[in-house]
Amino acid sequence: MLNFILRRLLIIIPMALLVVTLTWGLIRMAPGNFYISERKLPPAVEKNIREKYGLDKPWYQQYGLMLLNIVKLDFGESLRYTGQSVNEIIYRHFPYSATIGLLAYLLALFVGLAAGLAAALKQNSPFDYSSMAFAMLGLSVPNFVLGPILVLVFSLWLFWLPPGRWGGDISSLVLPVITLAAIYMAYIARLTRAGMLEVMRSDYIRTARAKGLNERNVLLKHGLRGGIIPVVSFTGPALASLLAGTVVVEKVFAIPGLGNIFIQSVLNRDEPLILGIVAFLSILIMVFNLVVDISYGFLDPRIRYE
Amino acid sequence: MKDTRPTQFQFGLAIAILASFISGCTSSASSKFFGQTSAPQENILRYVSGSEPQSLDPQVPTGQPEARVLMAFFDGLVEYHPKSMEAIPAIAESWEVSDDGTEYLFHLRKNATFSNGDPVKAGDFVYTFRRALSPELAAENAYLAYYVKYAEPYNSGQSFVKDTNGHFLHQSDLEPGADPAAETPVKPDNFGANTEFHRKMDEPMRVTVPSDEESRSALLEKDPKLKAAVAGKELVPVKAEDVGYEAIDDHTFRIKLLQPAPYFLGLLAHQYFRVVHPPTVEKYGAQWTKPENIVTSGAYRLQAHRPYDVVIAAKDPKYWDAANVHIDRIEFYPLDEQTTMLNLYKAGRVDATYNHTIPSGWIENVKQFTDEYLLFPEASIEYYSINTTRPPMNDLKVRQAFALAIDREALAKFRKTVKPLVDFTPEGIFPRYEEARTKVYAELLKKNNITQEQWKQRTFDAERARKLLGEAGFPVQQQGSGWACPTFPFDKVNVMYNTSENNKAIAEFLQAQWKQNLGITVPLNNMEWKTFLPTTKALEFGGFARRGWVADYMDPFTYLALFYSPKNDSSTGWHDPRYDKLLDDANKLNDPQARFEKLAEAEFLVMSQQVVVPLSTSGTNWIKKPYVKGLYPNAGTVHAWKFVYIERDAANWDTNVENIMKDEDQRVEQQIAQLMQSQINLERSRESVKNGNTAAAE
Amino acid sequence: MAENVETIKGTSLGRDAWRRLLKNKLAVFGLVVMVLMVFAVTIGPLIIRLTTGLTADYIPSDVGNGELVNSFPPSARHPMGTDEAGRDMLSRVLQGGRISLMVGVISTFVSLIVGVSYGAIAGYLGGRIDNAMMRIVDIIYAIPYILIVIVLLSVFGGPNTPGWITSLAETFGGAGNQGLAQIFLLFFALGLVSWLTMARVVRGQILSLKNQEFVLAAKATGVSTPAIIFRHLVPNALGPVIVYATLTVPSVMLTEAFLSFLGIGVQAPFASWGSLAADGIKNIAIYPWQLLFPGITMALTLFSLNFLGDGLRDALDPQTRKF
Repeated sequence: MLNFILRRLLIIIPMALLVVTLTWGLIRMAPGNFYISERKLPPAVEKNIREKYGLDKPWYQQYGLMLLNIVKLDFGESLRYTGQSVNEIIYRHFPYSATIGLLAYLLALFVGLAAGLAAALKQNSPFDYSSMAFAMLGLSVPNFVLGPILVLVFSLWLFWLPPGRWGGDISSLVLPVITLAAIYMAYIARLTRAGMLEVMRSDYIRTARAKGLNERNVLLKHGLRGGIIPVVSFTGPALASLLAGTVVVEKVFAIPGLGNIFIQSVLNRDEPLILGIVAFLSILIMVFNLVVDISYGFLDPRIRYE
Repeated sequence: MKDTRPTQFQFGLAIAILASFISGCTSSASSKFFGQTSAPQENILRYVSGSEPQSLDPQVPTGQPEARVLMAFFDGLVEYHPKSMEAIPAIAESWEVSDDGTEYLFHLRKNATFSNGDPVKAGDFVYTFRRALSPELAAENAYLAYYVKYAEPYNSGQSFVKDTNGHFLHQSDLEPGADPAAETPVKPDNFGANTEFHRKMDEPMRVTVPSDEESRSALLEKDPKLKAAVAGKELVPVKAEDVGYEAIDDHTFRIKLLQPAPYFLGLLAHQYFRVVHPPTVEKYGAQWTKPENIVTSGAYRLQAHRPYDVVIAAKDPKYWDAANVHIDRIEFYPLDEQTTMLNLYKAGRVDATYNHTIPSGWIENVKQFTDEYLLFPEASIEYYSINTTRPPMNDLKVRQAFALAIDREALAKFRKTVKPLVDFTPEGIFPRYEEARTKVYAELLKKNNITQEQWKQRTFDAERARKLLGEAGFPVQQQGSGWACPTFPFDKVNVMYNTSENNKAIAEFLQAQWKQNLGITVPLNNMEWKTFLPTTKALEFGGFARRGWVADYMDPFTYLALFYSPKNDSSTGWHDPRYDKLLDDANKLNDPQARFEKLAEAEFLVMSQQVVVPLSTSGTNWIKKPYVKGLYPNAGTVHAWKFVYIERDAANWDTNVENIMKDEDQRVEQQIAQLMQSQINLERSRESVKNGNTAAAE
Repeated sequence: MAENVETIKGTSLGRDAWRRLLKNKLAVFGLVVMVLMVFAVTIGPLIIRLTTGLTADYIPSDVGNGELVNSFPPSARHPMGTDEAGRDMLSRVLQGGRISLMVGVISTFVSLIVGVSYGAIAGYLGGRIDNAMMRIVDIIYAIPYILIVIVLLSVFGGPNTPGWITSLAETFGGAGNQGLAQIFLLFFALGLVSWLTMARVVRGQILSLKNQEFVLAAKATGVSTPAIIFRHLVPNALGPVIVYATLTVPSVMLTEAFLSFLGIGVQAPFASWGSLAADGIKNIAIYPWQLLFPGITMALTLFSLNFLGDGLRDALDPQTRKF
């Protein structure tokens, strides 16, 4: 087990470097550069800029330098936001995305599991129908539509909650978290319900019931453990994308998170910043995938690691 | 597994609930103000400033969002008048301009300090201005200073040419019949102190050539005369010390220009010319703008900067004019989602926004709030550049046909905030220039046999457009109720624009117009900004490219300069030496009226070639709470923050803001008058000295 | 002979699944809605043009002084109202539906081709090759897809569009249509980022199938590796693949909507449900119909596709058949 984790952790390093290499290649293929603007630069000034950022060197040297810096975990300075290092930008903006992402994850997990479980237990009841209808709605409404509707109702109509910006208090978190959580909540509810229905029919649950255990124990001790495996395999990648992919919510609610900065950095051709964020997020995603793989072992005794 | 899902009825119900929610929220727009409106208890201003500032170094960024923020932190020699944007005294309490218009002498006030208490001296301006031009900083805005003597050669890495006797090669030496060996006479000039530097500046213009081997030989190959003159001579790189900036003493600063540039004073209020603290910049390098390092020179100091969230400016008690700074704290919100910022405004969490922030869909609704919505003409235009190097657009008649086939009135009605534009300078911004232009155009029309009637119909004349297209060899035929132009090469022309809501709407509208009036469907092609720029710059497009231009300073020259010189940035491929000469001649004229007439001739020349399709003059289109006063919808949306204040007495709030530019707010007017006093005094005393001199001479 | 036996078994399986699908009311509902939707977006615009003369890109600036170039609420002439440029929303929703459904179907098809072959090859060959191929999938997983889409659209957009995409677009929409070429580029960009999960699903299926007797038999009779993979293994793994593909369609449509919201999705003068909703959301408080109609149509379609996907899963999944 430990061996397995160590091996997987080690392999993350070359994989992250490969991700960075691919990204670097993609950026180099894109037209435009960070300093191009409406005004023509005098050739001498352009030459100066290219020398300053080492763009005059042959590509393999630039690539080597870039890899070296990344191995040292130093992504250099942003090309657009002069004087700000990439590490500092990630360190400063990731917490915003992480806070919203984690809260949304917890909300989605809590509500989704509860709703899914309840729906599975009371299969074919009005509650089952209505909660699954809601889940379906959550899957069918893009969050850039849901967010503004929530703002309209709760901020501009009822004046209960602020319509945006990072306020530092809970009230400013409510709408972004709900907006972000909606689709995941819906997924988790559906997965939980389906997983539970499946498990409840399996032999070991039948055995448990036959032993005369009460329904509650059967459900929570035995059923849940097997029933949420699909949920776990969904939530691992989901958590990673929640932490990273809060772009829409950040735009709609004007939250200074990493997702929006990433989009901007791509549009600005801010190479060090793009590479830094990509490396950071890819490591994060791979670690989450590893965590998911490990947690299978705890949930399903049939799975073993070589 | 028997699956059970919600019934049709249930999800129909869900949609009905959603729909009723939405429609329920739309019927609440009848109150007096747009959203929650109550003056804050503190003197704070929450302003949406546009996208995240690229840098807080005043010399680096070029965008308007940065300009608005930087104006709070840095002071220049002069400041923008809050309404007219003319130069009013700032750190320079007064200034003089030499008779030939090429020298400016600034008298700095003695009590101006940086936020750390250091006094602001003339030497700091020299440092700031030289740094702003240095090739190492590579500031994109450096071109703004190119009218300063030797600024461009220094910025672009050029060299003087010196012979073995130590004489520099002058431009006059290259003129026919000149004798390069002869001593060049120095014109005596008694404007300000007579220093060695001053004498050097008054010498005729020296020749400069690129220091870089490759570009130099390319240049010399094209100019054999210059090649001969340079051959065998020493090259001396142009240094920062050669640029026409001079600190005569701690409180007197002099600038020498290449040639007269009447708008130069107004340009000095630009953030690019605002003073920085040299020791701080030297000590921290690129890190100097960090909140813990930064030293500012303006009315506000940087209290906090949380990128993508807020820039907080706190009133600086050490500022020389602190007694007249009314707002204690400004919070700049770097937002660019229009819906989000208007939501914040409606919820009473933002006091004012920057320009072009009301989406066209909201205008009908927002414009009823006549105490808040600000729509005024703006020194900014939208136009389409035409690539004149590729057929069929290399044919003037085709270009004119496309320009004439656009109903600009309908476009203005559709976009709701703009005015139709047929020339290249914005309408309603430079009234004196427009007067001169009307006069010049009338003369030129007569000369060119164009009737006034035709000229007036430039806004839209579909019939003539079809005729012109026919003359160019692409006849337009009636087809059903519309038109068709089967011979037109459809695949050679398209519209390029950079991705934005507004650009898309305009492009779709123009596409419809051309289809309805010419029978030509022009494909649309959009790109994100960083792809759009290299493509349009390299003229790698056929047809039209969307462009806009915001004035750098309040003079028509900022627009006309776009077509100046063969390496201009107009993305048209068009260039005409006659045009350059008209502009050069114009700027040599000291009489503003005569200068405007020359400029108008140039504008006529470029418009008669129709290398661009002008579309519209933009409108300011922003909104502010009625309790925010002293914040005016000027033509550049740049705000001198020290004139802004919060009015708590609702009786004195702004009402009917369409008159805001005419109404006189005594508090602001007095503050401006007080600042202007020193300059008025100086001008009076110069007047009397002059009169005294003439009296003595008689 | 052996093949014949298999075919007969296959049809009965298919018929079985079809019967089960028809029993599921919601899946049937989804199916009916989808058939109607495809029908509507295919011939709807034509009917509107023939009856009222309106098209999705018609801006009425030639009427009067251009006063029709504005937002108008639903009326007899415009059952879904108009957008800001005075264009008929019904035509736009139908035209947008074409693009959205095409984005969904074509991108899914691209992801199917890439994902199925990739997953099948990795699963069948196994060992080091499988390991390496799956690590590559992990790596691409870890690159934010938005970067890939932006780079693909900007590198291959405009004048650099590959010839085959342009010619493909031309066969659909006539020469010189840059906008359509952009859309086709978008199909491929989206397809290229959504094949990863498909590859994983297929690989899993192949792993469990490859040691079964019919494969061993094929191997023993000397059938070539590609033939084993694509003629014997892949057809047997199609159940989960179809299910997953039905669920990919709505997710790709949502992704396209998200890209449109960011301004890098479908480009003018074309529209998709996503871009219409993104335009409409700005005016939600003033002209609600501009969001409501594209929004509801899109939600209804996604609803139906999800129902259909669920129904198919229940009908095709052998596990649920046991009970």
